[in-house]
Formats: sequence, structure tokens, C-alpha cells
Amino acid sequence: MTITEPLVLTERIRATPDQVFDFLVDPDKLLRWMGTDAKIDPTPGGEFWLNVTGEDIASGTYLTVDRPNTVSFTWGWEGQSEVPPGSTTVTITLTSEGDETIVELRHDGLPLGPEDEHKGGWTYFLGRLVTAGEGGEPGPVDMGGGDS
Amino acid sequence: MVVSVMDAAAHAVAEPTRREILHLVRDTERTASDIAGHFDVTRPAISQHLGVLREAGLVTVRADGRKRLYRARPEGLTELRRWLDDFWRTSLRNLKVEVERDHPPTDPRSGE
Repeated sequence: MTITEPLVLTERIRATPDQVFDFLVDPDKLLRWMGTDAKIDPTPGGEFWLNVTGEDIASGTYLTVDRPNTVSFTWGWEGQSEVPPGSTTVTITLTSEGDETIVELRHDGLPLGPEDEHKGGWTYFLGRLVTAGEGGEPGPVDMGGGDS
Repeated sequence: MVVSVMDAAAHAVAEPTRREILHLVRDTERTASDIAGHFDVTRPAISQHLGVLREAGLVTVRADGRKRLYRARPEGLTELRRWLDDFWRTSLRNLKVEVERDHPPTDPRSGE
């Protein structure tokens, strides 16, 4: 069952959109808050490949790369039939407000169960993006003992 | 139910946190946040556990407005119990074969 409402999460970061944008498209900076290994070509049509947990690989294709406001890419899990690569779309929008950047993450096309599971994962990783974006060190990815 | 799903169910209940989650949602629908409140582990870990239980057919999730409510799927547990019963029946049969290989039962008609 695919639900019609997208998953939408919002965070605020004390940094400029340009600074936050680097954490989305620079592989070294991306890995400071999300994933254990990345192969990304952040241009429209380019490859998105991210080992998210050390065991689970998300992959897709970049759709929009518009510095400093929008990055979108298709998303799915390699070797998994429920949310296969290319089946869903992630759109991250950055908006400047005062000395902060509002980060909106929108994930379209997820079936009901995976939608709530992705909510847990994205909430965790967006918290790490706030830490990294404000100059902190989120540390290694630790999903807290839930294996797959 | 296909064997791989049964393997997934057996794997799912082999983890203590997931067994506790099954208890929590046996008679009550709960959100992932509510479930996470019962444990020291992080919300993403609970999300992963719920994913493992859901893919194994042991819990179901439904939408109630913006809430996502989980509860145990009794049919999944019944299927798992039946599978485990067969598992032990097979294991006991194997035990009998191995014991009798080392200690052949004496046949009273053989005259030994």
C-alpha cells in the first residue's frame, strides 16, 4: 500500500544554505552525518550510492542539483523488493531565515510500513546533519543496536 | 507461508528487543515513538526492529491520520509456532536416529 502523503521532516541549522549545501553534495562532508561509504555524482542524471548503515545500501539517480537551495534524487534499497532503487524520491530544500537555514526533507513514494521506518532513520540522520552543519562532530553512525 | 518468510520470522524473534516489542503490541496498537519509550535503544533502532518484524509477517502497521500504529499479527505468530513445532519434531527424530546408530535397539526376536 503506497500512501499519498509524503514523509516531510524539518530541521533548523545555524549556518548558511551554501554551507549546509556542501554537506549534501561533498562526499566527505556527507559521510560526516550520514552513511559509511558514498559514491556520488551530484549532477542531474548522476549516480547516488550510499552505504547507509554499513550493511544497507541505498542507491538512485540525482534529479535536481540547484545550489544552494535544492537537491533531489531517487532512492531505494539494493536487493530489497519493497523499496527498490528508483522507486521513491528524496527532495531536500534549504531556505535561509535570519542566521539559520531551514532544512526540509521530503520523501515521496514510500509504502506505509517503510515510510514510518524511514521517518526513524531520517530523524536520526537529520539530527546529525544539524550537529555537523553547526561545526560539531556527530561521531560514527550508530543506529543503536537494531540489526537488519 | 514460504520457508524464507519463516526463516525471517525465526530470525526476528531470536532478538530479545524484538520479542519485547511483540509483547508490547500483542494486545495494544502503539506508535514507534511509544514503543521506543519502553527501551533504552534509539528510535532508528526501534524502526529497524519494527521493519524486521513487519517483513517477517509478525506485526502489521496501519495509518490513522498522521499516526502509524503497530500491532502483532496473530496469524504470523501461529505460523511461527507451527514451524517451530515441526522444527522440534524433526530435531527429536534426528536425535533418535543418532542415538540408535550408536546404541542399536536390541530386537527381542533376534535371540541375542
